[in-house]
Amino acid sequence: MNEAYEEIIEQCKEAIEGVSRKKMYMDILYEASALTRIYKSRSEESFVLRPELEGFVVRTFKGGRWYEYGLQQVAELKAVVEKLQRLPTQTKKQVALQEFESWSLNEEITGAKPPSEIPIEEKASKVREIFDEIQKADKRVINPIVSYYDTILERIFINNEGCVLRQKIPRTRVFIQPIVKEGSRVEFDYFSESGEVGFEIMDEITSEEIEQLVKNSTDLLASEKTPSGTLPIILDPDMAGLIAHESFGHGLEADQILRERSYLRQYLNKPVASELCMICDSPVEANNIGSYFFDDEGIRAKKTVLVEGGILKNLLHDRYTASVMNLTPGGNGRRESYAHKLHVRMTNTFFEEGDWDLDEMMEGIQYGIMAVRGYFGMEDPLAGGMQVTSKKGYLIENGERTKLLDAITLSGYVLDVLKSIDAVGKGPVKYHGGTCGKGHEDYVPVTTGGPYIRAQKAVVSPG
Amino acid sequence: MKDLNEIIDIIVNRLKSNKIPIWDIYCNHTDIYENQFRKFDIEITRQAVDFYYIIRIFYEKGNNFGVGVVKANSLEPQHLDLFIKQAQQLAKLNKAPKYALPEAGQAYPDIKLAEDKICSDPEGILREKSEELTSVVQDVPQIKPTFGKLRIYISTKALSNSETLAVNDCKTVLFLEYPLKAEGADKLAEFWGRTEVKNLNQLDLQNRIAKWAEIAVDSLHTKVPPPSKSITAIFPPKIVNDAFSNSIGYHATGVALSDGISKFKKGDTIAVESFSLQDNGIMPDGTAVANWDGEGNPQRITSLIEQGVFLNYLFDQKYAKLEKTQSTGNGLRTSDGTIVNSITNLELPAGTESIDELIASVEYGVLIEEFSWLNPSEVTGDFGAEIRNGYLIEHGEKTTPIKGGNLSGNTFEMIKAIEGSSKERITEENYKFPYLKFSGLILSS
Repeated sequence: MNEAYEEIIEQCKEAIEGVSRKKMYMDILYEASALTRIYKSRSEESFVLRPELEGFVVRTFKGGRWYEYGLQQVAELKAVVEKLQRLPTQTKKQVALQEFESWSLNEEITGAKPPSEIPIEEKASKVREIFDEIQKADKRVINPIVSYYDTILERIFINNEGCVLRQKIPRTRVFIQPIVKEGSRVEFDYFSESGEVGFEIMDEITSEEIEQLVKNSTDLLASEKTPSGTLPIILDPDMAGLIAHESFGHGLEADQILRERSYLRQYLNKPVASELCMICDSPVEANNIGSYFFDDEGIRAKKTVLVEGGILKNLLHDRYTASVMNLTPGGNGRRESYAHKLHVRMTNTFFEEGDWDLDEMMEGIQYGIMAVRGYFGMEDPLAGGMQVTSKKGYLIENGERTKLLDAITLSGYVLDVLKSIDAVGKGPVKYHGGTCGKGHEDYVPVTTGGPYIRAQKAVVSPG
Repeated sequence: MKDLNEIIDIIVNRLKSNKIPIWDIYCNHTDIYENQFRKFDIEITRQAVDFYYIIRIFYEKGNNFGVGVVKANSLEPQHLDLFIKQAQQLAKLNKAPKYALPEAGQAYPDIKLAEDKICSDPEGILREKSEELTSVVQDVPQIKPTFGKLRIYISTKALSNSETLAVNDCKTVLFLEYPLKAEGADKLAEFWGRTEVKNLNQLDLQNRIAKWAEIAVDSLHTKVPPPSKSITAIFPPKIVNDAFSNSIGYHATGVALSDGISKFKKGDTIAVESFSLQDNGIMPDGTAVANWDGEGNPQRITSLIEQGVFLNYLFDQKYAKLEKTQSTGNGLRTSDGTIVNSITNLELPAGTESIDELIASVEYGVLIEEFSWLNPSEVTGDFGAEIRNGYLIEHGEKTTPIKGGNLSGNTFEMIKAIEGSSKERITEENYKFPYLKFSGLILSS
């Protein structure tokens, strides 16, 4: 349980004072994370509470290399700082880390209904209510799954450039999955909602939405296998966002450029997509779970335009990559926790809106696919390959949705798909919250989004 | 840091003061030592401590058993009292089927889970293996590393419950991620290798890097494979694990049975006759090896499928009670403190053919080395995954390297369409598998 944050700040400042910035860069990140998780399924109901779990990470940059210690006891801070100061400086390649003007901030988001003020009874009751509604909605429901999480993450950042920053952010998520069965076939659709909001997220779920979700799940019992081949596609906002983030965005994380592991390295200020495309990453989108005020190395969060008019404009940076490339970081240095390394990461990544109606987009397709409900994807930063899977979709014939399809996997070369985009839908941009790993670990909350998008060229197959 | 047994004593005292009759306490202290690389240079050297305890309080209500779980790391008495009250409140609210906690005095396997060499000098081992890694890669022509991670975990765990059960253990695990980039005249290719191993000798950097490098260099000459509505594919052990662990493995659990999702019934033939699968919780080289599971039951070997016939489900305490049977030691502790009824390590017997003979038996097909992400649906077993690295097999020979194209199938259908398995098996992560040959997959491109 954390002491008053002022005390933590003082202890961190005291530990780091006397570490000369001229000799080395040093910072301390403190975190206290609290969680409530409720999970209900046919055979399980579990309640987990994680009152504030605390940790610190102290790091220094010496001789072109980072050193860091993750610890849990504030009493150990001074000893760790001393240990880091004593480390020998490498004589090899010296990269100077940029210095930034110091700044201070103290911000808290609470949400309309702060999770910490809602009794667990009320949270459990809402989860049970949704569970019961799903169970009653259709005899074919064999297992209604309802998951609710709220987390409150407090982070304090102090460095020897004079930064003193604090932010406390709630992130609330709900995931609902009615599993249905008919004969031997088992299917499900899902609903998920998340935000930097409080318990009000649960109040916004209506009975109509639950009913529709169950219907969507039972409809999938009659869905057909997706045809294979290179076809025109319409991406719903979920899938558009998944491609912007997973297939495209990971190649723009500047650490991949320094590793010489990004196919996009050669494309800066060159066309990478249709001129209709504008793609951004922005940690300052209100209420989205990928948002924050400062990143985990004290850089002020700001929106970065990645692609404008189809031209690649910017990369995403942390302190180190920005220093090497002599650019300004936009606050994309993130950690899963104090016990994980910081990496260059995306935040809320999305296609900006265009001016097409969905009906107009549909009319232009004789035979194609609409991919709906983003499910998962995987990056290929070196080669620009694409793998994204939707939970379901529709066959489009002569401009009409004709058949419901089971899961769809889109593959191919991502720039081929982006360059073949010939219609970008009207706004507003819809966001979908999720969790992103760098490779297969270091998970951070993100959102992806966009409007509907039409592309003429994607390799489609059953997912 | 206090000894974990002392910490448990502190918490037990608070539980007793608060008059809590049924409880368990799980403590974990993990030390992490890691180097991450940028090309040949070390980008960061880091250490971290991750300590937490989990208190589960149980509350009897007739035939129900409320469970409240709190995870924390503060040992201040006033905090402990507050957490205990919170767990108690959750337990009173919660409705779960009634089951018993494991009792003391069980016969546990006696497997040594930690390597002394690692425990005594983790920083030295990390330094030594990091130097070996970069030195091995420097000697491979056409190959350049892009980034890498080499990590050591030393985890000490202790579990105690109100039935006087008290167990503890220490385990070491190593993690390696090291994508290798091959550079040709006008092309780049990569094999993104990663693994987690139980023992130092399983890292085998010389042979592992040689194998990963060979695939990366071959991938300089890839073509997109032509589409096929029904193709034969050979999967290496790692891909077999990706295919089976979260679909076949899940359907073999008590939770899938109780939730009505399992496709398996005891005694049904669900796979080809040559297919026998076991869950091996005591496999010494498997990362999920342990002497006791997350509830304190002994881990063991359970035969799941024997000669194509489904034999047994895997149970934790709760699902064992629901299905009127005994735990099989498959109650694994999640990081948030709950128990998940899950597989430990999966094992398939060796086949009768060598890998070369397996390839020679394919008239036309693909050998997959890596997908983007083979992630079958846990519920349906359906999957579609982009091929990252692989080879065409033509007239019994590995010919053109391939990249791109999407392989689709269903894991429950695949185990009915196994046409061969290799004599050679690989043990890493939580599997011991041979190469397997399947027919009837769909290749789109």
